[in-house]
Amino acid sequence: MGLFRLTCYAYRKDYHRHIFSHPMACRADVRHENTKRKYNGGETRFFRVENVHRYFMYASWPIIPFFFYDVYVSITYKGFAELSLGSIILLINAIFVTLYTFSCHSLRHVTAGGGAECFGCVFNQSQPRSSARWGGFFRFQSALNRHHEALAWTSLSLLIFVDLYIRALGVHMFPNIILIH
Amino acid sequence: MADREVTLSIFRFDPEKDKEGRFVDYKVPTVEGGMVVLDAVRYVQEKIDTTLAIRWNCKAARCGSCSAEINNRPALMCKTRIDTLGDRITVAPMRAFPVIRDLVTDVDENYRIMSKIPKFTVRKELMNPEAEGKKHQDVWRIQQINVERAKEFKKCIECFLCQDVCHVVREHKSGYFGPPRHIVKAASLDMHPLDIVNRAKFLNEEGGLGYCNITKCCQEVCPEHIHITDNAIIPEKERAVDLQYDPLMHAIKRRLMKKRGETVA
Amino acid sequence: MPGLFAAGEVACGLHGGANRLGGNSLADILVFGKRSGEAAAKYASDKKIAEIEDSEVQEEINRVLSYLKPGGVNPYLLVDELTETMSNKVGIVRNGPDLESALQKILELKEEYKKVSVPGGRKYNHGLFTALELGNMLIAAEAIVRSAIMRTESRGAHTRKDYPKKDRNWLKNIILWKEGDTMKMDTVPVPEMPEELKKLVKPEVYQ
Ligand SMILES: Cc1cc2nc3c(=O)[nH]c(=O)nc-3n(C[C@H](O)[C@H](O)[C@H](O)COP(=O)(O)OP(=O)(O)OC[C@H]3O[C@@H](n4cnc5c(N)ncnc54)[C@H](O)[C@@H]3O)c2cc1C
Ligand code: SF4
Ligand code: SF4
Ligand code: FES
Repeated sequence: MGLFRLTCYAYRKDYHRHIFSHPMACRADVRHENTKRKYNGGETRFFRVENVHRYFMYASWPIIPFFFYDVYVSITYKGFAELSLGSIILLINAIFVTLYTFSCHSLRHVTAGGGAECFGCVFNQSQPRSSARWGGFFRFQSALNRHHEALAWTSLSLLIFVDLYIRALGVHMFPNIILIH
Repeated sequence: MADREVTLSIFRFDPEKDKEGRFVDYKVPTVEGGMVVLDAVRYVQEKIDTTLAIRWNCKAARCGSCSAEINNRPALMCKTRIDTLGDRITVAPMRAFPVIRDLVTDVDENYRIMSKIPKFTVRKELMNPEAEGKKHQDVWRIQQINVERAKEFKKCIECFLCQDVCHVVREHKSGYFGPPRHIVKAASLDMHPLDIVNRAKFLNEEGGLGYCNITKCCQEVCPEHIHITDNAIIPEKERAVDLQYDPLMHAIKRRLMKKRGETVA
Repeated sequence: MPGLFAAGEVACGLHGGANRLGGNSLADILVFGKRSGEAAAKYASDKKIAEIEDSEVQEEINRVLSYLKPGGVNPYLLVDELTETMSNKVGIVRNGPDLESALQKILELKEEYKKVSVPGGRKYNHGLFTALELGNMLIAAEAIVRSAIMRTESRGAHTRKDYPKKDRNWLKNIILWKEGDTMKMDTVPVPEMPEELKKLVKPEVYQ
């Protein structure tokens, strides 16, 4: 999961800009033109590793159900169903992680059909009808994809928050608020 | 008449006469709110110094010739309103290209690079569909979704602001392709349903696609709001991954492309 | 003029006059672009390339460079005056006295134009372009105003307050030519509309 995020196209912008200052920003006066940069290979050489982003994506898929499983457990672990604020937070977290994963640029290319030259062309597809549906999926996923950056940061902050929250509950820092018993 | 006055600091440079350029200040009365930087620069040219060299044509953000760096940010002079800026405005030429004079730069290099991109190559079957028992109007028909994908790139007005802002273009001066504008062009061809050439490997090996590190400055400055990075560069990178880094996908792609008669440039 | 082919906007179009309705010019450039292109190619392949005297070229170069000297009248200011005159007096709704005074102003500007010059060199000198263009603008403006004065009717985009009606006697085109330093003008009748077209349009259109 960590590697998935590290090679994510949204975070790539952020760490190349803010950690490696390459470039710092777009305006001419702040883009740090004159600092002698040792590394200017972009995503060649070491950063070539970015290219296997899609494999990290595949690897992160099996993890997603566990987020929802956590929600399920949080509701039922006492032996009866009980909805608490903690479960709601876990659920929101699970949804954001899912949206983040499925708004991925690699998914857009490999699964949603971004890699195709053509949707529904006579010479490209044997079944034009199914490819029209596929086109609809591509449009939908592209709409999600436009918010990939926002989703990336929201889900990451949520992830950290949820982790701390659950730990705090674990050491009884404050009681879990029970909504439906 | 004038409700406020702005100071334009304009870059003046004649490479034949001057060793280096300098910024010269001019005072310009702004008449109404809708005034754009180009109006102010033309005021200087018409009323103060007729030797100021600028290039512009349409004043409607259509021709892409008035590109400059306004307050250090690459932008079209005719699409940047004075009332969005302070009382002091610096106007410099695009720094990635050689200056001809004052604000006019030589962008020829871009056209030379563009001519290296493999041309639109139509599917062979399309020329004679009857031979395969298909109707002419069927094979030439393009679905709306394909039109949508390519249409975004066709909006490009060749202002080359994206080339100017890209740090890679500035760092790799010699023979470097420069991602934004040229990848927009290549992507518009690659995503064209009637074209059979795949340009990703070519872009990666000769065009330096790998140098781009998705920092999205080009996308920020594009006056046509083309999602350069998200819709052109990343898809091309993914195509390059298909062909060069992902053995599984490569095997699938190769078979598909063979079946469809597509070629790798 | 032998060897001159034109299509599209410069050819003044098949609808005549100031017609810029959406799609008209598109049809115009497609049809007449093809026809004139083919005809020009055929014409050119039959003919030898014309000769041009070096002295003529040198004369033109000298004319262009003669505008390059400091201290003359700023061409931009004359362009401004011309623009103002044309916008205020030769707009969509016109009348005799305004047109006459516009013509007077243009003739004055023509005198003034002789004093125009710009500083700077040949490289990207927008002032020089403007000085050169201004000459053509003045010719075009004079032609427009003179024809507008001559055409004592209202037709298409030419509307005269003092002659508000369409006049059947004005089924004519105005042509202008240069004689020495002055502009000469005359009219030629427009060809009658073919019968099959007359059936398709209302009589007001061709009367
Ligand atoms: C704002 C606007 C909106 C319009 N909208 C529409 C519309 O919606 N629908 C429609 O049908 N029409 C429209 N028109 C009209 C239409 O665009 C024009 O009539 C048409 O494009 C003219 O085409 P053309 O080929 O005749 O001339 P142009 O397209 O003007 O081409 C002339 C060419 O000659 C070149 N040239 C000039 N001088 C020289 C020289 N000395 N040497 C060599 N080359 C030279 C120029 O560079 C140019 O390429 C519009 C016009 C404008 C201005
Ligand atoms: S996203 Fe890539 S192409 Fe665009 S400016 Fe950044 S490095 Fe250049
Ligand atoms: S992609 Fe955008 S910024 Fe780049 S040349 Fe085209 S219009 Fe200009
Ligand atoms: S003048 Fe044409 S884009 Fe600015």
